[in-house]
Amino acid sequence: MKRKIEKGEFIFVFILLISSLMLFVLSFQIYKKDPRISGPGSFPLFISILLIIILNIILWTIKKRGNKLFEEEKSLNKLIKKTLNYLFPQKIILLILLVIIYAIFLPNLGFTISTFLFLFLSMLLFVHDRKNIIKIFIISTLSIISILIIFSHIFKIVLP
Amino acid sequence: MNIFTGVFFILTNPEQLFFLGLFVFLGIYIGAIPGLSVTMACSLLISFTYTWDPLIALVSMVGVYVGGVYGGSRSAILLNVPGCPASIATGFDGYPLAKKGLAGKAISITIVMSFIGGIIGTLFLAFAAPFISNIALKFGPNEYLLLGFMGLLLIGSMGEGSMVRGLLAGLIGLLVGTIGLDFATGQQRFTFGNIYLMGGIHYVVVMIGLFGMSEALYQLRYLSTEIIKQRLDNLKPEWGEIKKHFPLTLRSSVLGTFIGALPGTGGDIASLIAYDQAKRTIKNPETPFGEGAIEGLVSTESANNAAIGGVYIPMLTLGIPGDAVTAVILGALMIHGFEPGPLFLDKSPEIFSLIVGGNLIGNIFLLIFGFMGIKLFAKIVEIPKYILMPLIIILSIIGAFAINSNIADIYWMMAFGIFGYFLKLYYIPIAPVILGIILCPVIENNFRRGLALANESIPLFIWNMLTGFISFVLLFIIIFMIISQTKFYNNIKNKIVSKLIFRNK
Repeated sequence: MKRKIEKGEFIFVFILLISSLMLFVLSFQIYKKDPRISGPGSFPLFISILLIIILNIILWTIKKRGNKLFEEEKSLNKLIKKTLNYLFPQKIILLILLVIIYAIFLPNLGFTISTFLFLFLSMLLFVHDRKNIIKIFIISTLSIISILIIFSHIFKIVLP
Repeated sequence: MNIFTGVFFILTNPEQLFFLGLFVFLGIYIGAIPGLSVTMACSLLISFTYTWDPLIALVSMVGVYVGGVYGGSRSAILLNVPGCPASIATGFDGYPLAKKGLAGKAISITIVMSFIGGIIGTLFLAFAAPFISNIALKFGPNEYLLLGFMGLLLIGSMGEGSMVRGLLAGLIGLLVGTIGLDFATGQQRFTFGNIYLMGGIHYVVVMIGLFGMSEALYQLRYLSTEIIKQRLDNLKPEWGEIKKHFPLTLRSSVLGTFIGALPGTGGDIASLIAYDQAKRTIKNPETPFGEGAIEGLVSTESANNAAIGGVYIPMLTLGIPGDAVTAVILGALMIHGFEPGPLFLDKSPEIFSLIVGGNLIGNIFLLIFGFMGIKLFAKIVEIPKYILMPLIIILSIIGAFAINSNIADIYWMMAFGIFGYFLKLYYIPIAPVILGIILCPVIENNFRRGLALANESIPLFIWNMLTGFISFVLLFIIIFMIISQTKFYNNIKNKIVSKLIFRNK
């Protein structure tokens, strides 16, 4: 039995197709500078053409099998909402935001503080019982201490 | 070089022995915990062991691989959740046995079968690799180009999703691999004037993002998956059972090694095919397949560990990884200055001996550690994902930074982690992306060399492929692989099969 088409699948593949078209243009510009088949532009050009073909095949397959999905939701807003709920359920989007914030503050706050805060907040985000805040605090503290000992002192790895 | 050279070298070097044993032990638990993977562990290990002695770094990865492939069977049996792809088929009969209260028996059988399969696979590696190396010396640019492409197609077609999606993933990987300065002309490709991108994106950074961070994000979607607690007793191996099923063990191990030796396939394909073969050849098992047949466990576990020996063969002799883990190990060898390929066994015989010796001793460690800590394992597997997955993200960040001490690597790792999350959601396999990046130099260099040899003439380039014996065979295999995925081929195959069945009746 074929699997059902997931929400947002068509759009994701379409975005990949647009990206491949842009890469095709960039590859062609490289090829124009040195127009030899064994030159630096030919391989990326060839790969981007193959990508465009493959993505069109996948889009065609999705459209053929996913007709019910397109007919199911007449309202674009509802379709977008359903898709976003599928892509980022259960606080995944909050975690991704936490990861991005962690990356931004890492150079300023330093590894130890930013990592501790990330671990504490991300575990708190997903725990079912918020009364375990002390347990999570202890786990986060022990984790960062273990990481510092294992990586910095035993493995002698340079931490961010 | 004698196969026992590697064994002797490790045994007389306490540091090597210690790290091999340690990482076999860790590999068992990494492979056993669903959500962690051997590929993830090896990806992180590459950066963590960057400054280590290359031999110790390599033997650690060999150990993690041996332990990890077996380890996946524990959670497959106890939780019906395979710890790694190579253990998918183990759960078919392992979990039903656990439900009958025979988890101990299932685990003890898998340990012994993994050991036997691992030894047989390693012996094949030791004797077949030099032979294949000699054949590989006859390979030219066309043969390497086709082998690299075949590897991408195979790894894409055998995983989840269609070959088309696997090919898509491989092509994405190839394109990412072209970022940076061209190897021949120094021309900038897709750098957008960014100094960081001139060196390309390090494949380890991509690997950690795709296998580490994206897996953590993906696993956090399924926090509510209930963990079932199991009773564990009677862990002694039943030698009568092992002796009775020895012919099946041998057959499955040989099959596993051959399948592992095909570029792009690994323990997961080997175990599934071995299970299928066992079902077809054993008509009246004591317990039916799928309900706790010992034969089901014997075939899968001996095949997936035997495949470990097999996957090293194309990696070491041709420079083409046998599966995602050997793609990572190939990367590790290259980072430490070694060049797998036809001349590898002549130039670096000590590394080959080390891998063979490491696998042999690693399997002995597996036999010892396999019977230890099973009850402890049952506790570790119960670590909640909300604790484990954020830790994986932090380890991914540390791993990405450790390569070049460049904060930009962390950002790229995160970007690929989020991209990998989308790939997983939409059934686009991840392994071909990494394989594409790693194989990009092999495929592109040989593509351009082949064209240069054909004086830039495409018809002559194709003619050269058709008229070379090895390249013709490889081209035929690739075309067959593509056609066999089409409806047209399947319709014709079904018609032929029905006619044959009708004639036999």
